[in-house]
Amino acid sequence: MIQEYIKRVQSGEDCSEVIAKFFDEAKRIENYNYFTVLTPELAKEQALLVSKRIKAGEFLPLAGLPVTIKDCICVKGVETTAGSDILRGYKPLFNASVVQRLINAGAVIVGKTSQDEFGFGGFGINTGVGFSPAKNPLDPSRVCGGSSSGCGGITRKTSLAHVGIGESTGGSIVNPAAFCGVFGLCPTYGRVSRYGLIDYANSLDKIGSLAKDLGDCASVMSVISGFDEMDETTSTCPVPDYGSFLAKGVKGLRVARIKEAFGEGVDEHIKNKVHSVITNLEKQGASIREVSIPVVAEYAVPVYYLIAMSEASTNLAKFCGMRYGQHAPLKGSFDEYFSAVRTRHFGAEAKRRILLGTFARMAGYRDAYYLKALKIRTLIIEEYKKVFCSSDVLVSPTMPVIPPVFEDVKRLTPLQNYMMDILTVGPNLAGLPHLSVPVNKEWVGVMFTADHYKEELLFQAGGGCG
Amino acid sequence: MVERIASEVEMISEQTLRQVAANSRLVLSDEEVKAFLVQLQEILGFFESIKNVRADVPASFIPVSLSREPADDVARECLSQQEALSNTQSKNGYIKGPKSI
Amino acid sequence: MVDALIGMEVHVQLNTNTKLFCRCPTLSGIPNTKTCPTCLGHPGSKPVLNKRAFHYAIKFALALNCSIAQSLVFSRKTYFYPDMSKNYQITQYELPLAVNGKVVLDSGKEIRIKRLHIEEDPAGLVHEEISLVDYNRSGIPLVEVVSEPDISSAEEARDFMKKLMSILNYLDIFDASSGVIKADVNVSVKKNNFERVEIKNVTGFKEIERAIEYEIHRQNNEQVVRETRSWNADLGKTFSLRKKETEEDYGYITEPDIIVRQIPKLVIDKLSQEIPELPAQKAERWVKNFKIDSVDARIIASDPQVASLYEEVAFQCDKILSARWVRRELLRVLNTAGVKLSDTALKAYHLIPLFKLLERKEITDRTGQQLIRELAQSPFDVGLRVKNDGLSAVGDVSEIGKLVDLVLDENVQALQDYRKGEQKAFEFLVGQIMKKAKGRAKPDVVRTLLLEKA
Repeated sequence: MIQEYIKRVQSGEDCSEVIAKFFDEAKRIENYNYFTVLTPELAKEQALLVSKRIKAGEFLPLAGLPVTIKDCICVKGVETTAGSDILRGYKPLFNASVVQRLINAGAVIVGKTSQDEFGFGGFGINTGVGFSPAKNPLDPSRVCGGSSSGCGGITRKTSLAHVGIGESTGGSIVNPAAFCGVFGLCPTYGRVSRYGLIDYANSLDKIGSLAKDLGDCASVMSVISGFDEMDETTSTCPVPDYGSFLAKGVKGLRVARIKEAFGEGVDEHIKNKVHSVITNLEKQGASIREVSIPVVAEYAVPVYYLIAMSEASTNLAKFCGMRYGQHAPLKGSFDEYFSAVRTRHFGAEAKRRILLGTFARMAGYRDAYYLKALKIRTLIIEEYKKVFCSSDVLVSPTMPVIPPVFEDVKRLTPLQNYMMDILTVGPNLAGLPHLSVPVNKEWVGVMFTADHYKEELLFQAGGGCG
Repeated sequence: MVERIASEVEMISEQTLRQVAANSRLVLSDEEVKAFLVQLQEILGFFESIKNVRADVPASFIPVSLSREPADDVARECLSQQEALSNTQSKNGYIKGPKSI
Repeated sequence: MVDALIGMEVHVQLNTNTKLFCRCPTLSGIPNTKTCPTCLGHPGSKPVLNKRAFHYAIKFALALNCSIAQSLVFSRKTYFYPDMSKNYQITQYELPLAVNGKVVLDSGKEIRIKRLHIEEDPAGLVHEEISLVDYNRSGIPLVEVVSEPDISSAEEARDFMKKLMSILNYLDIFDASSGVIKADVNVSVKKNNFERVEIKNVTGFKEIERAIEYEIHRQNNEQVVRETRSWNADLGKTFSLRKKETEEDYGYITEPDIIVRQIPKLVIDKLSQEIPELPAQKAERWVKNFKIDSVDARIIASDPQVASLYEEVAFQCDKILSARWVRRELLRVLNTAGVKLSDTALKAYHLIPLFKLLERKEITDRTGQQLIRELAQSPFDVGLRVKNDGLSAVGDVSEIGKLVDLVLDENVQALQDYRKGEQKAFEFLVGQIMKKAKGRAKPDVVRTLLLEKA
């Protein structure tokens, strides 16, 4: 979809008009709360530069493409808060590597999208103090999913060429993709540089893309993937041309249906939709089998939360009313000052995760919680690796439910909230690439998971879902 | 299948919660302590299940194995002082912070 | 059983070009001009390990006879303080870079090294009503060396520090002129059942020794509780910072932004080959091969510049005479002037002709001492100076005889005293003759003639 538009811009059409339209649209749907900030001036500048570069004979693979960036990813000079009140006013002094690559490829940054504070949520309702939750583009009484909530919402809502850059720690790309009825690709851990990403949990965070069309995801992934000297955890593994796998067909593709993902707790309606997709793949020549991953099914949620919260509680230590973000009059001892700023500007879920994470890595408990979780993560990776010996992709529903209405979500306990991630935390914990494909453009997603660095198989499988 | 080992259930106490809050530099009201305690006990109770797993394997600090040379010791351009101070309050080129002793 | 147990945690700033996890230069100067998002702890920044810092730390560990770990793992130590850019320090915890080393003191006593690890320096703080923070220092690579509590006095602690310093100089991984050495010192005394007190953040050699001396004295005269104290250099006292039970829980986790690296044997071997002969081995070799005094050897070997000067000189001159003159004269002159050899322009080729003249007794010791003093200030051609200024030792009997006669005529009283048997009077007369000869008369000739004539 975007390729047609990019071609036009590349051949000389001015993109400023589309960019201006984007802002008009964004304004019209302001009450959906998809943006923490819009960047019309920056976009205007970038659009001009794109025209100049094209006139100078440059080939820009994303020429003039409006791109939104999840708020937790730094854009130089643009307020970047990761959805948290404590970071209000923070204007990064640098572009995240992802943002720089997009700009280099001719993309135009149009705004920062709303999210659960620091990524702490799956419904987009754990917003920071003073932020508002994003509303579902298909029914505003329902949630967008999260934590890349605004990203999912705007991707579905906009009528223009657009790709959203999201970020996933435990499912935050595929979850809103499923709830908003768009494609969402979360790559292998280390496939895309995290330099410039405000950390939730460093060993789990991955930047990926959401789009209305799978080809759009592929175009953007090819640009943003690859080694970065600024992030030690990026891989030097070569990046294939993902677009070339879309029309490859699924004949001979070994698809494994995850047994536990169709059990209790998953809506029948969703199971049926996903089954129809599987049947369709089989008709096209994919071989279907069933696999069981019991360790993932039983332990992925607690292991994920223990690791994520342990890391998150250290990452959030730096927010204390110094150097950037919220400040207060410098009164009292440093302990009093830090405590006052943190207590005032962190939201409830952030506090909950800081408390749990600090507890899990405390002397006397860390062996039983933090270290134990890291070891079970090894078992989980091993379990997946075994399955991938005889399968190319795993298939399951993305979410066990359809997007709930806000009232229902508010009634859930924190633990019930965490359980909603049951299907997405496995691949995230193991750093496996996964893709959510919308079924009939509705709010049900089917999720494919592939082995490390095998994103192309996801594009192949997704391409076969037609 | 994973092997299971028996373990005792440990619960977070109010005193520990208060200590954790202090360590985290968060001030909790008594109502917050009460509410968090119930929630944390429910969550930790659920996490207890991992204690039943025998995991005599190395920890996975990150989910993939990566190797690369460390960086060469060659200096790059720094931020200007103005940039370094731009997000915060400063005095005579120093960044201000709360009293430290 | 000893009366005091002292353990040291010594923090050394490495003299790399750039910081441990970013490529900002390790320079001080105008506050906050050597920073980037990483060392400022800005959200979104990431650490990237400095290869040279890693290799320097391995060399240091090898020089301290440590065993090196198979992999390099960093951890986050979380605690809140205004000098912390992230409120966690990237350091090493469960698996330090190296363990089980030792340092041998002059007395022959071995101080065991428990562990050695790499970590980042916090920012610099100016304490006012509020804190003023300079992040130029934030992220400078530190090596922490932790000893077992094998040290039993302030003197031993000083010697331990001297040995570390000497090794750092040999490895050229620490810049004494701009770098900082700090120590946390654990002191406990028998009288108080070895209740452990930690003194935090003592900066500099002399202060470490003073703090230990003070603390041993305090503990032997006061009720001691387990606590952390700070050293106030101006007042020469330690003060209680916090009691043990209020210590922060650091909640260590493994640093997920830095990959775990294997440390291949090949790399260790290569670095090991880059380590020069270290002072202890050098001194031992000189004593064995050159037959020089062991104290001379140890002192000369402790400074790599002096050691290399000595080796060059000893290659051409008498080795024992050279050792004696380097240690007792050259080092004395440098110490008195408060300078290091590298601060002067003095080279081996200045000393070689001087030592040769001394060896052949062509100048007197007194002339030699005078010449070394002048050489240390600004070097010159010793042979030419001796020739032009007529500094050669005088051994001519008739020439010295004239001086003896003159002195005896001028000091009748002293001559009488000598004849009465006062040996002091004889020495006085020798002194007078030497003075007249401007130090150039050969002492043995003077004595022989004076005995004859007096």
